[in-house]
Formats: sequence, C-alpha cells, structure tokens
Amino acid sequence: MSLHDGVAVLVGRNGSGKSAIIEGLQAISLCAIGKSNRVSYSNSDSIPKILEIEVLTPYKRHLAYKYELIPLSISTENLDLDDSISDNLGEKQFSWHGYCQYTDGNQETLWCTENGITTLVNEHGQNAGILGNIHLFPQSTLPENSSLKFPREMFWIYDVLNGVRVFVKTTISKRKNTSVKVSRNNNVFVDSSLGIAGILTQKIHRCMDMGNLDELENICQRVGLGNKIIVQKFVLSQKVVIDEDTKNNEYYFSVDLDGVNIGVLSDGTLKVLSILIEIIASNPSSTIIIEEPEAQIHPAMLAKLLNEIETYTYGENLIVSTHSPQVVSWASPEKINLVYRKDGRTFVRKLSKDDIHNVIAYLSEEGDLGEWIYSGILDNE
Amino acid sequence: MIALIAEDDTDCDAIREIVYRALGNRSVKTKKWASKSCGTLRKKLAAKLNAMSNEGCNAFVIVHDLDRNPQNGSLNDEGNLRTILEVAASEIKSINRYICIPIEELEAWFWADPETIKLVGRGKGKAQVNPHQIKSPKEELIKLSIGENRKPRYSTNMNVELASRLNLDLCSDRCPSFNNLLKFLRSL
Repeated sequence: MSLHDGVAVLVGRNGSGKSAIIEGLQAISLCAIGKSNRVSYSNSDSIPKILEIEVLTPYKRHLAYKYELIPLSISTENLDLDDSISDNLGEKQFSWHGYCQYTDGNQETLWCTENGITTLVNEHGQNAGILGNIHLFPQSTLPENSSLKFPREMFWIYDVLNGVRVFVKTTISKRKNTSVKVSRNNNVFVDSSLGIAGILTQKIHRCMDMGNLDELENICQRVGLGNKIIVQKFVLSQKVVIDEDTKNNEYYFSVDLDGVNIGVLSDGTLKVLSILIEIIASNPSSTIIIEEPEAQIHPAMLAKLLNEIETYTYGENLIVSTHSPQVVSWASPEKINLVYRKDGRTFVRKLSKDDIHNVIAYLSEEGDLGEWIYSGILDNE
Repeated sequence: MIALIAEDDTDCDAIREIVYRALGNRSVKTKKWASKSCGTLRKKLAAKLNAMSNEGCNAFVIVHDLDRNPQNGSLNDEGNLRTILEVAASEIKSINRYICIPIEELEAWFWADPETIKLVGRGKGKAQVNPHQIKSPKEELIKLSIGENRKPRYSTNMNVELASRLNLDLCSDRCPSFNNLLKFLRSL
C-alpha cells in the first residue's frame, strides 16, 4: 500500500481485507515498538507476522524497515487502554527478526535483529549485540563514554510506528452519564465499563491540560457538532462542583457538549468527537487510520469532518478505508488503493496510468470519482 | 431568490456571505446547489438551472474553478470553460446570471486582503497583489496557518468567516474574477 502525498484511501468490497489491513498494521506496529501488551494474542492467527515500511527521513532519504514477528506462546491478557509504552520485557510472548537499511545512496545497513538480539555496527566498525526491544533503551541510559551509539534512524522508525492511531468502527451499546476519577497527582482513572465515553472524557481532560480545549470547541463549532464544551470538576461525596484550584485534591471530571453529558451523546457524535480530538493532538510523524469515517455520520457533517481531517493531518500520514462515494470523491485518483481478494489472499493496488487518464477525463466531463469507482471498476478484481 | 451554484458546500456558503454583504441585506433568499465535482456541475447545470428557476430563483451565480491540467500543471483555458458553461446556462431565459471562474480556487481571493491573511496566519503572512498567480491557494492557506506546534489551523470550513471579513473592494481590485462577481451582485 503506497501513500500519495501521505494519503491512501482503501476501497474494496466487503470481505476484501480492508479491515484486516488496518487492524494488522496497528497490531504489528505495536509489536515492533514493544507495545506487545496491547496486542491480543488470543487471536494471533488474524494478525500479520511481517511489517515492511518505507520511511522518508528528515534528510530526504528512503529507509526500509522490516519486522517479522515470531509468536512463542499465547496470552489472553486484556488490552491496555493506556497509551504509555510497556516496559515489560519479561512477557516472552514472542521473539522477532528485524532489518533496517537505506534503499538509496550507498544502501547502508543500519541494524539487524535475529531472534530478538539486535546487532549494531558502531562508529569503529565493531559489532554490538543488544537483547530486548531496542526502542525501550534511550541513548541517555548508556554511559557517557559508551562506544555504542543508537542510530538516529532507530528513533525515526520508532516515531513513525508509535504515531499510528487507529479509529475502527464502534458501536456504543449503552448510554449513561459519565465521569472519570482524577487522582491528586492528576492521573485519570477510566472504568472500562464506560467504553468510548470514558476514554473521550480522559482525552478531553488531557486536552484541557494541554490548553487545547478552546481549539476543540472551535473545531466542534465549525463541523457543526456543538457550540459549547463545558467541563466540570466535582467531589462525588459532596456532590458539589469545585471552582477553586483542584490540583491537590482528588476529584471527578465530566464533560458536557451543549449541556448533554458525553456518556449520552449519539454514536455518530462520539465518533466525530473522537476523530477531532485525535487529529488535534497528532503530530507530523503520526499516521492517522480511520475505518469508514462515513459510518454513523450525516453526509453534510461528513463533508465538514473531511475538510478538518484534510487540514489537521496536513503533512502527516492518513489512511482511510471506505464504502462511501462521498469519501472517494474527496480524494484524488492517485490516492485510491483498490483492495481485493484473489486465491484466498488480499491484494492492494493503485489505479494504473490508463485508469487515471480515463478517470481524469470522466471527472472533467461526466461526474465524480465516487461514481467512477463504484460504477464497476472493482468487478474485475 | 438567488441561486448559488458551485462545486463545494463551503464555496456556496462563502458566496452566500458575499451576496449578503454586496447587497447589504442578510434577509435576501438564496438557494444553493453544490455539485461535488466539476464534471457533475457541467453535466447537470442546464437541468439544475431549470429546476431552480422553477423553484423561484430569478438570479443565478455559477462558480466554477479554473482547474489545472493534472498532466502538465498548466491552467485550463478560461475562455473555453466559459463557453461550455454559457451554452449550458443559455437554457435559462433570465438575464440575471453570472458565471464566475476563480483562478484555480476561490481561496485565491482571500490572499488579496492583508487582514484576512493576518487572521489565517495569526499575524504572519503577506497578502498578494496578484492572488491569481498563487499556485494551490487553498493549500498555501493551510501552510500559512501552521502554528508553533506544527499543526495547521485553517480549513475550508472557515471560508464563511473569511468571506464575512474580506475587504470586498480590495479583493475586487486585485482579483478580476471577484471584481466582475461584485459588479453583478451590486447590479441586482
């Protein structure tokens, strides 16, 4: 799957493998940077074992990174909702191979990993072996006079994989007023039974800490999601709202959008809100992946949401899967990736030069890209 | 009632704001059609004009970007585009119609006004004497709006707000496509 100007739109029939690509990219990228505790191995057959990515470095060079997962055992550990990186190397759920090399210039090899042992070449040409996920060892942990230097490319790869954010289709099964507990040291505890509303409340608390709440409110207004976000801090036992500085007190935190608690907002509203929060907070090395942004969203709001996504992911990577002619029409032909199954395998291909030539003529005289894509071009795949 | 026809909802909304300001009357009735693509606009223009005329529209503003040729990057022929649109529009008997062809994108107009650019760029950026010469004006606005945290802040959803602040006379001086639109609206 190749991105054009950082964007890829995945189009294909049901069962072609779009979701598998998205979930697979998320799972294997988490493994590659040591967030293995967030990957469920109870269904490990459904995730891919190999990840190959190409990274354009800040010095405009092309870097290829290949990661191969070797599961050793099965764990039924629950997913961890916390974004922090696991430093638990003792899980021993898997081993891995890895390989990193420039694909241009002198095609230098940077490191390779065999069964979890990474070999680096230092500046004197000597090999050094490191056990464990190397991304979890910052350079600062090494002695100052150490001859071992982690290559900067390692951190670029880490940034790219760590920046993968996925929005899959979700259904909110129950609605109830939602608040989260905030400890004295400002840690937010989310009861998993609160579902997406709890997670969003936590993220809005983070938005508030980062000073982004006004911006979130502005973008909600532009998209037509709501006009006013009100956050409340209160002590549950006293049932009173806290006005004063709460830094040294434990408290509960809730969010209302136009006077409605976040826990009872509609599915579509929560979905749009979750995307907006994430694109505001993402950084230029992020890869935002959205599965069917059209699901649960009115076409007029979808058009405005796509406008904001276009802006806020500018310069970042964006991967969108869709069944919507509206979303397809929002993209340019070069960004379309056709997903199809053949002989039991999923394939992805871009439109050919002839396809693009034809579609440009069609766009100029006849209709939009969505109509063209869904007019039968996929039938031969 | 004025019919507003453009390729995109945000374009229609921005044009409506300019109509209100040019006429000095926010109670004037409008009806919009966003075609979603230039091909659809051309193909369905005649039928849509008829339908909107039957629904009571007696003045028509048709906005169609002058796109670039994706093969070589050069601007398409404006005269040719205008002829195509005029032929489609000729089915309407009303003489109150204007075909507006912004060079590349309507967002080029915003580059004419220093205050609008200051708003998008949060104090940085410089307005252009010849906004029509800017390549990819919308993308350039997004780039201009990138803040210290490296995130852009301008989206086309802001076009209505920008249209409400745009210096109409300055934009008219600097953008021929806007100049003729403003003349048409003020003649109504």
